Amino acid sequence: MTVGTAPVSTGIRGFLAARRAGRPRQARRTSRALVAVFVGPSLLIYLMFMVYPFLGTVMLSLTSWDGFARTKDFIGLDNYVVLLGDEAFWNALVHNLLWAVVGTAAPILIGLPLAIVLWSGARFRLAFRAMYFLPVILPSVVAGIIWGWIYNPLFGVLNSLLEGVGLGSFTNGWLGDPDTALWAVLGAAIWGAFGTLVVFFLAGLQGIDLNLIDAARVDGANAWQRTRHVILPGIAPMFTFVLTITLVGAFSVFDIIYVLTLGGPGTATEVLAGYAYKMAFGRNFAGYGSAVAMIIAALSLVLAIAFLKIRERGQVSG
Amino acid sequence: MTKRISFIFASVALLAVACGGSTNGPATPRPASQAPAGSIPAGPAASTPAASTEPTGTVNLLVGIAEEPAIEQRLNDQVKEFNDSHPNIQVKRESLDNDQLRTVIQTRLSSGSVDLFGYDTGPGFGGVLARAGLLADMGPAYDRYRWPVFDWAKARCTYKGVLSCLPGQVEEVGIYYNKTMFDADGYSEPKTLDDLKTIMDGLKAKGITPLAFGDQPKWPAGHQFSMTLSNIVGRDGLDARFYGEKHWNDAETVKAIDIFFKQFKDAGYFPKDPNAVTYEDANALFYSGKAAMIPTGTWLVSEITEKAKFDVGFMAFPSIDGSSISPPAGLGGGLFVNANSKNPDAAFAYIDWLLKPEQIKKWDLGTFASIPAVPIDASSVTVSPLFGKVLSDLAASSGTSGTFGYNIDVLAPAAFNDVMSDGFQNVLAGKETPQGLADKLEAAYQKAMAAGDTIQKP
Repeated sequence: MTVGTAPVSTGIRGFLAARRAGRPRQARRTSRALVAVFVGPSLLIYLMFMVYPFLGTVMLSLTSWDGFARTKDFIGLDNYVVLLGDEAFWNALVHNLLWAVVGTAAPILIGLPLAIVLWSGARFRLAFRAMYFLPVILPSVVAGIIWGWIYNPLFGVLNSLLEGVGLGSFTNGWLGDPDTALWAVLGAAIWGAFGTLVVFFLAGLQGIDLNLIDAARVDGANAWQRTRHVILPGIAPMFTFVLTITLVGAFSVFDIIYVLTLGGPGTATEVLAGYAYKMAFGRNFAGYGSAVAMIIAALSLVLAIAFLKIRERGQVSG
Repeated sequence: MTKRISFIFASVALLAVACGGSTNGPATPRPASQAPAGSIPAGPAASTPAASTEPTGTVNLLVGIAEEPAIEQRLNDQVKEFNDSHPNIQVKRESLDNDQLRTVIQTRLSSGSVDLFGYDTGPGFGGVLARAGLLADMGPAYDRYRWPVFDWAKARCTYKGVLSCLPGQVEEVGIYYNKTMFDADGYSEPKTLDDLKTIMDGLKAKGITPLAFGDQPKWPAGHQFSMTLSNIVGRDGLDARFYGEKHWNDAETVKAIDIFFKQFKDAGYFPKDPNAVTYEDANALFYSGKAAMIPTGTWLVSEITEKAKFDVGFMAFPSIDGSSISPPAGLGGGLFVNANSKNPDAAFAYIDWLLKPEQIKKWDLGTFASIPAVPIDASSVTVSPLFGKVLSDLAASSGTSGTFGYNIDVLAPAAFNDVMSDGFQNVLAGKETPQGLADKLEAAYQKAMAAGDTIQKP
């Protein structure tokens, strides 16, 4: 089993051992140069397009910049203090939390069973896999436009369908009613997301040793027991990864809401990213908008770290 | 379908006075972002003194994209015509989605990659750019080319005493109606709110949507509010509110909100769920004959002329309980020159070309059905009956300076507009009372005043 990897392994070990033993300076220089060649370009890109804008946003969040002036007045943490008492901010955060719960749970509940069915050898699985993945290849703006048509109160398919099956009393202006708008947008987002999760879960399922499944079956485990005790633990790392990206995505969601409702009616579908955009570009409070953006970043970071810790703990205990 | 308008519109100059009242009063409407991107103000250059040396170079023009692809194409054609006739200057036109324009404008201006651009003139738009030192002083160009722009319109482009833009087209907000349908049902233009309600009740009983009002994009509501409030309080009442002498939560303001957003909604005069109906869908309802009227601005004349297969009339919102009729009117944005432009003279030369009488006749009046903020001679120009009606209405109403109201969102600060657009959706949804919204408007305006973001009394 390890024959193929031995030389590499030995090579690395050898290299490290040699380093510890004090190899010639020339070799060390070469290895450093190699590291620089391989890591340098991507590090540079990362610094330019991730770290620099991030730090820039941190700085902006500490100013009262209007987005246009040549000078940016430093105001310390004032923007963050104002945020604490900003009702619209908390309203948006509540929407994000709702999005995080429903927008994470629903695609998993839909995507995981579908992935298991496809993985277990369902007929036409390739066709189904392609079909489920189809929404993913649509840009969310296009998906938003399509769902805007579906929900349209004048000619939308959804209302026509309801009328067609005798449920005309349930027809609604889905995106124009504050009581249904967020759910309607969530529905569209879930439709766009679950296909990705199917693909991720399928990738995770490919890593499960089929011998374990067979062994469980021989031991008399039924389908649920096999899923509970073999399959789910097998895809636990992928599960954590999926949870992390969907939760982080829930706090930065913007485009589909912007296309479908502009955060309306009123602020019924306004989320933090939309609020940051509105503050920065609608009201010319770029500093304040940056502060909202930093809150999004902080929430995402905390979530990502928390789930990575959970994942690591799971791997250690596993 | 077209008729020849053979009268000289010196009276449009009066209209302009009416739109502005004084040379410093607040001016006009809808987000320039909504305006046809190139229906740039035009007017007869009184006499253009030839520059000592002909400007040369490239002019990078950045504007909001036109709503109709056909109009966008014509705007490109207009630029091409200029380029073909001016080999020393090349105008490169770039159009962006209006929201996108707002997000990139600061960067584009600072980088110098834009020489000339279309933008709103209000304090939250052009005013902010002027404060940031991003706008070129156009005063010398005005003097040099003697552009005959109305004083009231120039006032809308003047920030802290510096003339910084060329005013856009003159626009009015009113109600288009299906004249064929009205004639068939024996209706005439309503003179009072009660008349209008009677007509709308009759239309509703026939299964026709009376008013094709869609507020999904949020900005249309501001125009309807401008119509009712302008009528109720008149131009002076609006001035008083803009200058902080009256409040935005008094009984008159509440009444203006209540009539359109509560009473009309409750009476079923709108399509069901107007918060979910887009501007385009509302327009489509009107074009298809499923709705009898559509409340919007004169920027839609060109599109309506093209798409409506019936006779269309245009009227102001009628008198409310004996009030005056003061339709909102003013400017639809302006053309600005970047302070960092490497080639401002070429940009000015392009503007001067746009203001030539023959260009105004061909493009503004003849192609875009837009009215420039300069004295115009519409003789020998062939226009549609609808545009002719709009022109004559504007001219006929221009006798007194108090005739026109304002489109509020152009003159109000951005934060106020935000409260307005969110708030009207909430009132339409029954989640907010007219008084509650008025209180929020007042709070937003007071806050903006304290921050110096409102227009100043001359």
